[in-house]
Amino acid sequence: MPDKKLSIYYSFLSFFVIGIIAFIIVRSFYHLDYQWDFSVLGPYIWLPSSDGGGPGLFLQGLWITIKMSFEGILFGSILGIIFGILLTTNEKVSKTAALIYVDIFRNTPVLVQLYVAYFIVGTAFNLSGSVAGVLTMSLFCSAYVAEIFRGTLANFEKGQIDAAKALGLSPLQIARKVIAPQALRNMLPPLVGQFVSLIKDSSLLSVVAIPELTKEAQNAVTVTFRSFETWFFIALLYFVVNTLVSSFGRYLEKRLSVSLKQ
Amino acid sequence: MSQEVVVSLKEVNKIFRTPKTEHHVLKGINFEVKQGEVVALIGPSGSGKSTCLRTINALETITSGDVEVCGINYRNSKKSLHMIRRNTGMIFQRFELFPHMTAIENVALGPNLVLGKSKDESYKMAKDLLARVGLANHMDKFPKGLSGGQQQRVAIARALAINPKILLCDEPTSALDPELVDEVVDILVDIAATGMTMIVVTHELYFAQKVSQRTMFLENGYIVEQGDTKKMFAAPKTERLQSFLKRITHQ
Repeated sequence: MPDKKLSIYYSFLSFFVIGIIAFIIVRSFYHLDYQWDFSVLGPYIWLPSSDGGGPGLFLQGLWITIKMSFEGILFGSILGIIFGILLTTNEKVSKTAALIYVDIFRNTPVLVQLYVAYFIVGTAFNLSGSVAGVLTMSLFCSAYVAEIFRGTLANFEKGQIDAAKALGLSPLQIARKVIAPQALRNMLPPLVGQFVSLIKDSSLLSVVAIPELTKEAQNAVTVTFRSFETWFFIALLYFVVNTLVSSFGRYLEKRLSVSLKQ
Repeated sequence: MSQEVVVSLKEVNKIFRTPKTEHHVLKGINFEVKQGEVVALIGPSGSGKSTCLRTINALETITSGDVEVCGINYRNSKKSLHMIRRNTGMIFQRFELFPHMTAIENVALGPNLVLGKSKDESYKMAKDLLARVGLANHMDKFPKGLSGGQQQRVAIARALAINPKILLCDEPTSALDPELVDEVVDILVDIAATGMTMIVVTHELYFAQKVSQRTMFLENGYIVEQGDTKKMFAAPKTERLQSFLKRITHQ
């Protein structure tokens, strides 16, 4: 905690920064000569009853975004843990192989990975856009999960493992009872960050014609010419989903860390 | 007191190798500890005393030589390594309690998983042991909620929970605030009085004197001098032990 005198300066500083940002935004919007009309988005959100009602294209796209991101996170985590285990072994060949894999997927643009998966691998193996999309997201996500897994284990206190060994626990018991409960908690914040960023990256799936949220937004813009309204609304949807994911992560983190307090 | 040898080290060498350097930590260590004996290992830091202790329950591998605990040599098989660790309990300088478990869970883990006792039985054992180290009122606290001395007492209870024949203590009081040292020392002295075989690495001479019958002085990977604790401290034979004792009592 900063002392009392300093905290006044901190408050002042934050007001100052917020003030400047607010000024820039308000001034920009004030000078923007634009007639806002969000009503055109209505049918994209919920179909009018004349068209049979039900969720509109944006909500359908949102669902596809959520579904494919979830699949990517699920398969990515499973694969990531496998590669993470390989990264932490002392066996040279598998370690190097895992390292190359992680480096390739972390250090190349997802967009390029997606093109390769869709146009090259997808053509050869006759994959649909959504399969190629989920495949790319899973592999991309797994590289990050593997690295998070490795980092967490590498930082684990060696002394506790010694204590567990000295107690006579088997390696499997040590992994399950001593390492896993603590490592899981330590992995959570970076994992949630990775998942949130994957949900945002899923917008790239629009380039392989998957009708997810971003693709639907592009379509709507070409029809309505209302790009500001559309993209602001789409951003709001991403914001809501990602805020829910991060809050859930924070909640889990809090619950798991209770045991590390007094 | 039985004269059975429970720990024996024969010509133990330990060399730490990194690609660039070689560090010869233990240079042909020989000693035996009989059942019920309490032996102190003293020496300056870097003398190899902790490494020496850790070879006994195979937390440290050895480069050459033989280590036998209760007649078991862990080079034989994985099972013998497990048996050695079942026969030895260990306490550490930094306690090394599992922070995600309460005091009682820390202590009950060994009986439950290693001795294969039921949950109820393990908790009962843990309760008795924690009461024995004076922590009956702190059983449901997590390590972070306990003082250093209390944490080390939980660690002692955890080490005793698997009914070891030998208790290995790796500088059990060095991480404690001075006013907390006594509560831990008293308990270790109590345990020694029950006939437990103990090997204690320490650089607190008063603790070594209070708890041990025999002392070994290690320096540079060699056992330089050994003998009866009281005689050795009163009249050190070698010059090295003399200067070590002088330095440490001056602190």
